[in-house]
Amino acid sequence: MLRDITLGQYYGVNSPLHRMDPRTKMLWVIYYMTLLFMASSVWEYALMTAFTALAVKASRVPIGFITRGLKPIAILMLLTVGLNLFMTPTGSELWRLGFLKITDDGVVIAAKMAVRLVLLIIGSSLLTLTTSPIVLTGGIERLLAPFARLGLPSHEIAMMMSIALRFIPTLMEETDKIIKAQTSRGADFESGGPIKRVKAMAPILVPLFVGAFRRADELAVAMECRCYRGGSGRTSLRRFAFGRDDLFALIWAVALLAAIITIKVVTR
Amino acid sequence: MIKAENLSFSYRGDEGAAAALKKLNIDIAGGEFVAILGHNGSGKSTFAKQLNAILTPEEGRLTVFGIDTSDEGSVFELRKNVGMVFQNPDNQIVATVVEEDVAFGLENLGVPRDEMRRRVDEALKTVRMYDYRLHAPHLLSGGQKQRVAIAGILAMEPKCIVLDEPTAMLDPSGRAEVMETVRRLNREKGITIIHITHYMDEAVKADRCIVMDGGEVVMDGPPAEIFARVEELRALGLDVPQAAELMYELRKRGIDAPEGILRSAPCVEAIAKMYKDRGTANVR
Amino acid sequence: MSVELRNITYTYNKDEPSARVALENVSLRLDDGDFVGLIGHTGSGKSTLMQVLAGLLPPCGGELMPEGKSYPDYKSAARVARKSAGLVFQYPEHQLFEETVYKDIAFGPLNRGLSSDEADARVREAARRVGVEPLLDKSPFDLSGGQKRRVAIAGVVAMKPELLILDEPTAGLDPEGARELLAMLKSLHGDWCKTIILASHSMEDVAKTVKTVAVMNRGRLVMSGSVAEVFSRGEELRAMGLDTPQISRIAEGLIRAGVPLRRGIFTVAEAADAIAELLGGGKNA
Repeated sequence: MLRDITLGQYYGVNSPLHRMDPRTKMLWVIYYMTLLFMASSVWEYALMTAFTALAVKASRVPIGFITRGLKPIAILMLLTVGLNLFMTPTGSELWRLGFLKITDDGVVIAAKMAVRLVLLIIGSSLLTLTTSPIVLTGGIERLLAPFARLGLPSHEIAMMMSIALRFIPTLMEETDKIIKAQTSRGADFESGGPIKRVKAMAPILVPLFVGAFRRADELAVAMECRCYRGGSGRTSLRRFAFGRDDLFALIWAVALLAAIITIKVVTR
Repeated sequence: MIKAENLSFSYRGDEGAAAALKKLNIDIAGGEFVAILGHNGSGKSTFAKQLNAILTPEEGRLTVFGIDTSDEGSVFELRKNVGMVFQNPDNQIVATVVEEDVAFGLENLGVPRDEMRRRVDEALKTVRMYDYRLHAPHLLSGGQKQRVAIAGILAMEPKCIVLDEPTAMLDPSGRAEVMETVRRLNREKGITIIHITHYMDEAVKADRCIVMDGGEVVMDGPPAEIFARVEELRALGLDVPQAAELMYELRKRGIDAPEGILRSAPCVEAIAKMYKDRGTANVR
Repeated sequence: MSVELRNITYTYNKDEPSARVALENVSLRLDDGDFVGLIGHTGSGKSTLMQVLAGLLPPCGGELMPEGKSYPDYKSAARVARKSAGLVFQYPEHQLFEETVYKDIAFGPLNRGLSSDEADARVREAARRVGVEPLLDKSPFDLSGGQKRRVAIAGVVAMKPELLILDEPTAGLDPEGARELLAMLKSLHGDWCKTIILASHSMEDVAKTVKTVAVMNRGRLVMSGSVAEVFSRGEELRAMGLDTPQISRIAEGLIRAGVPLRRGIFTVAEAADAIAELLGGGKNA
């Protein structure tokens, strides 16, 4: 059933990465990206690759599932690698055809670029693969909370995100049902020019919006019935705890930084 | 504890006002389990929405646990005491995790975290959903969702729970789960239950049935008494449990079948007894 | 023959950790003139089965054979299935979208390529049979719940499908609304729709409406037969979490208590007649 869908590409198994606090993971991804952009020598790239491989292993997400996420950006990658490969002017020439030439510097730069891109994608998709969207919003809410003092409506933003997330699976299921129901009434969503296709959307969009408004209405009444009156004076059940897995993440972060600094010092 | 005096209300639409409640007089005592029956448009949902001031009387007065529902100042006090469960389980669950939804009302009331934790856990255990506290609500069955909704209200420690067709969208096992929970809350915690339903087998389980039609109360009494009036109920667009219908059909066929039988077991017993004594007293 | 299914299997979210089998090796044959009640608890695979029957969900394995024929590929089989079957989903009123009831009912017939005259005749006839004729010029969004339900059903009925499939058509209706709807379906069966299959949770409704019953449990078709045959297996049904009509429970109880009642009673009128006779006959007997 479509209600089993999960947003993004969450892969629900139990692993140290899944157990980590979402905030730790989000900060980690930012940290990881920074490290990746700081990396310059081949050794640093090798270290980052090894670390990423370790993280993938720890996440218990099958490698095939992860590489699937790489496909959509394959063209972008080819383009970047190609540009670096042919357009690097420095270094000794290895091969030449007309104005195109490949230098040894070009090969190294292109290879680094490819590795960096692949690691970037894998690293950040590990966040969405191991964190359900629900937990992710909770984490975002907490990360935003300090900004409430600056006038950011963090409660309202979080409430909106949370309600949206709560209802996305419901609305997806509803959309699927409406599409099938109209298909059963002979509706055709696939053939014809763009105008015809847009017109063909009305039998889906009208009921979907009517339904969404009906739900919003009912939900508002239900929230009122439970004494909802905005963010002021509210308390909260959820407490994010810094667990053992988060401690490990911190240790890894320090270790990785130390290793990179060591490499930078040694190879200087 | 609930007292409606000449309560009138109408919905205002483009084509003028349509009276939904007409000079309603209802008295419900604390701890009662009341089923309200009536076909769609009989005013039963409108009455339910009056009970926690989602709608307020146009004329007349409604007091609930001593609070006048027209008094805007005590609306939160009122809603803390009168919880509502609605028909569509999907459209009343706010949070993306079960226990957080149960906590929603308490968060709104500003209950401290430790107290909240205790009340949320207790409410979840009462409706037997504690093992699902970390689940996503959209993956639960209809009956489970309704039990989560009930837990969310229970955590606010209300005196009364109003259920507006809570089983209409559920399958038989979901309906049974909800009914079992509601009955238990009534018996063990003494919570007043006002249960609006189309299902006669659910109404049978109440202490008292109120039948509404055209915004008025047309029948009021214990289920055994109400369901003996088969013709009248049918005329109101309602059903009777098959056991009651069978007894009624037998009486129509000239057999002196007893009134007030609503469930299978007593029905079997009564007919078996008539069969044993046949030829004596039961043929008129 | 209306449709045949051979060894159909279906798994949701195949190849993912959340994979769930919905249909397992289901074979089913619906002949012209059948009026089948499909029962099973939520998650038993009923809704999935109905979507496969209507050509709306490609099965993971097995063959969909509309009109009892084999087709070279699923696509062409699905095309025929969609043409000959109309599926009324649960809460069909949530799919209404046009400005007027008339236009909404006409949506299906016009999609099928009927001329506007033909479509007009269809709309009016369908509206009459479903009992929404006086509502044709209204907006479907201004109607009551029961009226919306009927209009939505009329939208499918107007295509005059040979096989009409309905998923819980009475859910949420009040008893009278449900009674009228079932009577309407009964009147459609035969001259308007050759074959009807109806999923319902209400055993009472099924017992008094359909001719044969099919039972789904955990993705499998576990029982099928006449209403009397299926409901006489009360113990097995209850083991699957299904109810039997209260009246057949009473009849079973009476038999156990030594009252020589015949088996296969599943409506109140039948029971009353039989019991009255046993008790030495009332004045009407």
